[in-house]
Amino acid sequence: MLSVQKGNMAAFETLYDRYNKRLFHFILRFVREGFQAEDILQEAFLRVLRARNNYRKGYQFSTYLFTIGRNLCLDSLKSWERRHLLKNQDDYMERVPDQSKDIRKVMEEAAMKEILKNAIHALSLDQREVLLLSKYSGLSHGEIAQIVKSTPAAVKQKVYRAMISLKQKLKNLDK
Amino acid sequence: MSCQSIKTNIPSLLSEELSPDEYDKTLGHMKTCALCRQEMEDLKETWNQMDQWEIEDPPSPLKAKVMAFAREELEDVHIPWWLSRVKTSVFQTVLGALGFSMIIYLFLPYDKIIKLCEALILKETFLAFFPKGTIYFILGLFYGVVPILVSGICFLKPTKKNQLIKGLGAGAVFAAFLVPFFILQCPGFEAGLIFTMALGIITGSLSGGTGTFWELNRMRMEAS
Repeated sequence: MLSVQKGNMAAFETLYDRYNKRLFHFILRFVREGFQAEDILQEAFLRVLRARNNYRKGYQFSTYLFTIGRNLCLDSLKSWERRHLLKNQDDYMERVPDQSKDIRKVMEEAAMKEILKNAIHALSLDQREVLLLSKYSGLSHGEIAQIVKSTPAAVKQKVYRAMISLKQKLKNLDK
Repeated sequence: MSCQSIKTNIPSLLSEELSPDEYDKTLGHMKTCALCRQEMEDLKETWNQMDQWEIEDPPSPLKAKVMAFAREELEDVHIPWWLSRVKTSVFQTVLGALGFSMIIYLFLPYDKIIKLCEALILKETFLAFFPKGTIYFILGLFYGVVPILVSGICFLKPTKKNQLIKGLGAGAVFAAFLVPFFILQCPGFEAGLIFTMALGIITGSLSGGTGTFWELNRMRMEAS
């Protein structure tokens, strides 16, 4: 990032290659509008670029980037709530099913995935974000605490409660 | 360790974040407590279930878009942050000086202007070099430069509260510079003085505060 401040294009590309998938996976799971995730990912990296002179040695870039991404997701969700778009994101988000698998197994997996998605989206916003950051982004509780402006102990507690809620919701939805 | 604190450690255990000591204590407790062990098994199953939610990677054209923008952004002439801030502050100062000089022109006769300048340690001999209009501008610049330029350059933590405080501080400094007007007791100027003070506080606050806030907001990421 310090090289990017000096105008090093290759350094920025390296950062993009290193973090874009992790960030995208978090964003896509967090927001309701699937195609919005691309815009958020793009905007997150552009903001990193525009604010590059604010970056100080000693910051952890992953925390810096995920903070931007998380805040953009929250803005997007607030906007979604206002607009109440019901765009179906399933076509965009899901992998193409493995054609070699038994169709019944594919359908069972798809059903389970749907249940899981609905259960995670039924969690409160703060539980959802810490759970997604913890499970899918490879960030430690300390790093997550910096992103959500909390303490590592509080994040641990929240992740635990989120998992308890998720477990319960999965049981209820499965029925 | 209590059951509650052990249970809270389960997510850290699953994401392999526990220190060796905490790991030993947690597993040690699990061996003796069936309830905690069951809780761990349940949450482990939930944790593993979450692996089923696979997501596509971002599309390749997106990288090309981001890189195109980055190339444009990085290939621009690199302006140091302090220079861009000075640029904004100088712009505000010049605008402010023009505004203040017009106000002073409306309310203060020329002979009082000279007395005012002398009160501000600007000698008449020095002023003789300048046309009348320029003297008004110099006064306006003087009344504008301190609050606006200082607040514009000052680099404080970019929160809304600090910007407001900075702006109000700028306005207060501006108001303090109006003291010579009181000393001179310009006839027929009282109403203009009150008006100028109020305007000074408002414009100093708004200009210093919002100008800097606008500049920093352009660069900042809203995190709080």
